[in-house]
Amino acid sequence: MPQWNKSLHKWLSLLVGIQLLIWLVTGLYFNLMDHRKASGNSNLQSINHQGIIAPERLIPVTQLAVQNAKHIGLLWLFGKPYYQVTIERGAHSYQAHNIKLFDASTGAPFTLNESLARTIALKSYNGPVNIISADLLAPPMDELPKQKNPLWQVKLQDELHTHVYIEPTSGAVVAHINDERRVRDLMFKLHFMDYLGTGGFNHWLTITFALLTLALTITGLAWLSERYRAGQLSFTHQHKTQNVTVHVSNTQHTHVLALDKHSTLFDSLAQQGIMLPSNCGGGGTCGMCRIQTNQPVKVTQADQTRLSQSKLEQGFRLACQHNACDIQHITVRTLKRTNKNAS
Amino acid sequence: MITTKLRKAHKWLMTFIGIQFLVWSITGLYMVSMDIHFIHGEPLKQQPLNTLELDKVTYSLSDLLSEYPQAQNIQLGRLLDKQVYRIDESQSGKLILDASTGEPLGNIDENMAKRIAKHRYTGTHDIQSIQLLSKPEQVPSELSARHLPVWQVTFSNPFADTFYINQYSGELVTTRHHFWRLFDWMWRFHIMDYDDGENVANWLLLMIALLGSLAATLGLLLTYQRVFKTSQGAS
Repeated sequence: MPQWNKSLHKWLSLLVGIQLLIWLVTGLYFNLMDHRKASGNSNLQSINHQGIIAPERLIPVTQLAVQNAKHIGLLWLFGKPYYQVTIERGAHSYQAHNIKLFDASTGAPFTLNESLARTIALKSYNGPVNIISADLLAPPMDELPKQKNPLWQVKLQDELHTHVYIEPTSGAVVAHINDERRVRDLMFKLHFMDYLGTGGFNHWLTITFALLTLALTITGLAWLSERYRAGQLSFTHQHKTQNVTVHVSNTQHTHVLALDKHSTLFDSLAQQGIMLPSNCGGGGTCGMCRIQTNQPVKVTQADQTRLSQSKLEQGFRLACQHNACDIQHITVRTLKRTNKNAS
Repeated sequence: MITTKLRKAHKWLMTFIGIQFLVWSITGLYMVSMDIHFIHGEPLKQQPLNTLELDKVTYSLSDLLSEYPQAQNIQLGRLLDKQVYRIDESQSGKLILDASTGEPLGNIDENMAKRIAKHRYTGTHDIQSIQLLSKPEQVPSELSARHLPVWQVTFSNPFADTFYINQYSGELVTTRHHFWRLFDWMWRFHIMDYDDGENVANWLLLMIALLGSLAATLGLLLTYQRVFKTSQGAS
């Protein structure tokens, strides 16, 4: 296993670590959230607009002052019929469209005014509530970043701070955006890394981070497979031991210790109270947990990187890279706070 | 030593769930890097260009409502070269009426479905197969049963572009192609719901995401230790 793999893993984790945690925590939120509430639908109810009209009172569509209609629907609003004329529209209702309304009994152009918007907002809300304000907003809108058409925003005076968004070209309630929905939208923004407010997830920032995260997982798994091949990831936990003579140079004590064959020397010495210096905790990256032996022991990639050629020739190795079964006799230099007094 | 414990815990947790991190990375990368409008097959669909010729609408809405007083959801639009009304009728269900004569046009037959498909398809490939799906047990996993009955029209291109055309209305209700089908699989693996991908709130995801959060936190602490706390003087 090349040393750069470990180094890359560390630096990648520094780059994407916080976002990776954000992905996990927001993912947990999506797993646990109440869907109806999180959509802002706690107080949403449907409105029945259907009415009745004597058929002969509808004026023919030929009399409408409109060019280039692609589609005409009969739309009911509070029991009155309107022609909804589509001149241009996209695949989704949030995309920019050109839709006009006409009174179906007079043919006059019709605009969904503030008082109708207020009425729709109140009727769409389950329970008594007061209105704070009503405004016709032009895109872009903070709470509906994808929306490309003007919408009525009616602010209600309730505990959840509900804003009702109404499409002027249909009278349809686009959304109730309340505090419950705002939490979900924030979670989506974090999960999609939509920090620039595009309303979507197809952007360079998240693509870059996804690539870096893929590299992070690949380097991590490569590291794990290296540990596995080194026998330090065995599932069968055999506690076979082997006696190793350990000479502690700074205290001039010598111990004969029964060390676990399939743990690293670094770990099994620590279990016996002999603490070697280390910064990385046994990852083979800091090069501090050196030991010396006069036996012929293989040189790992980490030994090679962290120890000079002359040190290697003198028998220095890293304790975190070798298992007890490789070596019977070592000299170590310990941390000052090591308290090993036994035998 | 605390670092040693962190490192071991991180190693062992990732031994068990590291594969899912790889799955999350690959599926997430696919989903964010493929344009969602492309995935949804929007480039495959020709948007209707022809505008209505209102002077040819000789069967008026008044005529329609006199004949079908219960008609709801009345829409005037096009069906290939014809101008038609599409209505929901309480007795007959969904109907298509000729907008110049008022004559019901009946359900879309195979020939008509093929013509609609070719008319709306932006590609140049031929139709490879066509079949009518009308029973819930015939519905492939990529189609919602609410669209039934539909004509499934598959084109002969490498990505098996598929159009679903409603048998009553003649409308193109949805499309599919291999990149979308693959996207659906990516989604299922991302949320760890391997049958239909509809349930984000599943136990497996909860367990793995909890362990994953722990493993990632330990990893972050290790990185912090290595990058910012190297005061002991590494060689």
